Amino acid sequence: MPAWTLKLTACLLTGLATVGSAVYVAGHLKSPGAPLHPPVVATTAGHLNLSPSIRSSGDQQPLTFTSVS
Amino acid sequence: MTSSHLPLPVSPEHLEFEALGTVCQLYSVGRDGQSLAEGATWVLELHRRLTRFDPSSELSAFNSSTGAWVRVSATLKDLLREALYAHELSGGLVHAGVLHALLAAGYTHSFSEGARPTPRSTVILDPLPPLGDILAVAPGAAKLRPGFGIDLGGIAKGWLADRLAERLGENCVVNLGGDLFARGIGPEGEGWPIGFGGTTIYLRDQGAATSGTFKRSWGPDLHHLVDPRTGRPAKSNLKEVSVIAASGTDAEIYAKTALLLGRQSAEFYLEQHCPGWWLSP
Repeated sequence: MPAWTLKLTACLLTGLATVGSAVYVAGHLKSPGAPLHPPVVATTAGHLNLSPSIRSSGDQQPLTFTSVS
Repeated sequence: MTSSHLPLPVSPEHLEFEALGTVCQLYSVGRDGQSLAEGATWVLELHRRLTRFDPSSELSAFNSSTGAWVRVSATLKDLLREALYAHELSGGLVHAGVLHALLAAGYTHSFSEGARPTPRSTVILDPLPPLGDILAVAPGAAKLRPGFGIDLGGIAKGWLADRLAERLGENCVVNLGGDLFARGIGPEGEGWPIGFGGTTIYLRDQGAATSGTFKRSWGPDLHHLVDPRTGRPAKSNLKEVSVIAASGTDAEIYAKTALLLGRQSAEFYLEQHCPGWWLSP
């Protein structure tokens, strides 16, 4: 096998790994399961971010809402 | 605090009414319905004095002043000072001097009157000067530069919620069209359960507010939230922002600022100021 094919294959693999990593990182800017991060909850319509000082419950019915007026 | 230390759940007194062009709700533990009714009367009275849609209101009289110092009530003085505070806190983005920009965009009468504003296709406006260059406030008096007008719609609800919560006692929620302040431990001792970004959060001596561009909208790119950097309705990649802050006033300011900043900058901004937020693109 000629040496240039090995070099070309190595270059292609390196390029693929670089591009693949970049695509993955760009698509996973925040991990909901990451430790030491504020809780992150992805909703279908938006992005919710609550610090640990804010208690939340998905089960409790709210008394009233904040909303656009 | 463990559940064994929590007070027994109580059913809060509740009153719902329309004012400020929206639906308002008051909740209180320990105050009777009469106290809530007096609170509603207070909001309605201030709405009458501070609306820009009524030519006979105190705000309209101030807006028609000709550049000289004029006497203003203590409430209007406080709100004008609040407008200057909001301008400073938002880095100039929350700007109460947007009245003429709103009128030029077609927002000439209230949505609560039934008719929608008329879209205007030839809106040509300039960026607004800093609010401090057009508005001055002193004890008992204020001065407005000719050619400019004040609209308090962007800051009044949060401010009024904070003030009314002070009047309604140590355990209450004042929600004025979605801009609210929750005071005290709530009906079950764990804070007041508030709907926020699709979940329920518990607020205790904290405010929350939401700003959005889709509700008071009357045409493509025509809505009530003016960007003072352009003098036109804002173009943002966010349609709605909800935030939690130390007061209803601050929450309203932070929500509007974040919406005007757009998503990427909004997250950096809110991380510095708010313990929670919800962004909707």
